[in-house]
Amino acid sequence: MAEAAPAAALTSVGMSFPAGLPGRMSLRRVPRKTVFDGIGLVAEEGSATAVTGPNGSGKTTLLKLIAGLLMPDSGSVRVFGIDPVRGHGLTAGMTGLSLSGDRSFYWRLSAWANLEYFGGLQGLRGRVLRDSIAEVTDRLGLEADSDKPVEALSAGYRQRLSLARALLHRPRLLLLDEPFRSLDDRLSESFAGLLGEMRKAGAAVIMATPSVEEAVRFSGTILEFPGRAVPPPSGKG
Amino acid sequence: MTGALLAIARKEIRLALTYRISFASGILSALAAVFMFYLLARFAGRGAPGLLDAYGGDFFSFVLIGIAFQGYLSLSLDGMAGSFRNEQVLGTLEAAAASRTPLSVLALGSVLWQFLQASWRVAVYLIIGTAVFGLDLSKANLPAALLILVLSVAAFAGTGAVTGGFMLVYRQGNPIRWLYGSASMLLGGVYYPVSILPGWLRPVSSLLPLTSSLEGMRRALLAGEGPAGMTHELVVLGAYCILSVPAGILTYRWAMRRSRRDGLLGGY
Repeated sequence: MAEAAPAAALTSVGMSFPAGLPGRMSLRRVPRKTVFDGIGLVAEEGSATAVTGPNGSGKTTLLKLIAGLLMPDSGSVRVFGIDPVRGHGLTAGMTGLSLSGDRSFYWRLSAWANLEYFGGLQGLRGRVLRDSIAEVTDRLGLEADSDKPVEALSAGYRQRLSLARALLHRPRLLLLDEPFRSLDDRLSESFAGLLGEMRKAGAAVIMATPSVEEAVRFSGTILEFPGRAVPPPSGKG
Repeated sequence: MTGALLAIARKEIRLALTYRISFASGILSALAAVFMFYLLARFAGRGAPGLLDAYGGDFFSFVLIGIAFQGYLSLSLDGMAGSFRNEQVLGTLEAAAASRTPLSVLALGSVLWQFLQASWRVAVYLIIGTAVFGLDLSKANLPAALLILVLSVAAFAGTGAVTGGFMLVYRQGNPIRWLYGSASMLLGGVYYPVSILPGWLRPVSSLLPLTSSLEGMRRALLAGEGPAGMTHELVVLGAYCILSVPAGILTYRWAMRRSRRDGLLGGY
């Protein structure tokens, strides 16, 4: 049953966050600020979808919803037919998430050691893990400095390291937040080639980008934020 | 789960190796603490007559067991919250949460590592105390001590999971833990026998798990008593396990749901 389901399917999804400082203790009900409402999206296996819109429009929130890091206020999110919150252990193993920003690594450890750790959390071990790290570092141009502590590496390197982490366990659904932001032309081409290979192998890619031009170049399906929800096609999923 | 725990252990060891001075200073601090309590014991002599008889009559042995095992219990209380807080500040919590490994396993791995470190400190306390300062463990009933330790850790870990849940949501400890920790330090008998407390405070003290834990541990290690002589301590610790472990699980589930609803995993 789960094999026939699309990689990601969102139906009438709404999301809001508490207004003000997150995690504040309050006896009163904290008002919430709506990020988006009524969003629909279907990403079939092998497809490429771009989510575009200005900063703060909810692109990253959408990726986090699909990754199971957030729970929607309304509507449903399914990854290969499974709720990514309730079935997180299943969907997380099939999903690779790369968020923009570089505060998600142990800065005192080397790039390689970080990949070993996060690969281990994804269930990779031994030779499989080492081979996988060697492959992604090679494809993303990370092998040269992979023994250096992350704190000694450039922001661009750390961004690519985030992409490498997302690819390590060969996910069937890739969620990428501004993946081309820190890549030069050569690496952009190499990474686009890698994504193409993964799509041919059946992986779906959903990419968030503020650039409409990049979205058009990358994808056949574009979800534009804010407010322009693309309903899922009928008869699918 | 084993693979994830191994990955966490390897990461923790690598991180610890980047802070080598901290490791060495931890051992020196333990040595200094043992020496300080040895001097205090010499200064204070045998304490008030009769109060330490049940523990072999020696203040140094009494207080050394207190500080050594109080560390385990603090860890059970604060380990999970500390692990979450550390990952929040580093910014790695959300990345780990995106993996197939549940955050509860992440916290478990981190706490197990901290337990290893605490065990090393306890070993330093006991070895130095025995070899240099005359701590007498010749009567120790090790199976009874182990039973008390396991029950104590479970009893405190339930409260630790409550604290961990609060940390996920509010990024700070909860008032229950503060009250619990402060009351335990004051009334739990770490540095003095609870029998010197005013009469009206003793019933409160006898209900605290730290009191039962340290009482049981001292009787097992210093007086060689078995479980049959520790019925009250075993009942108190067992009752705390029954109450605090489900409370910890429920709080942790609430915290995860709230974190996902409010987008709290990525901040600090």
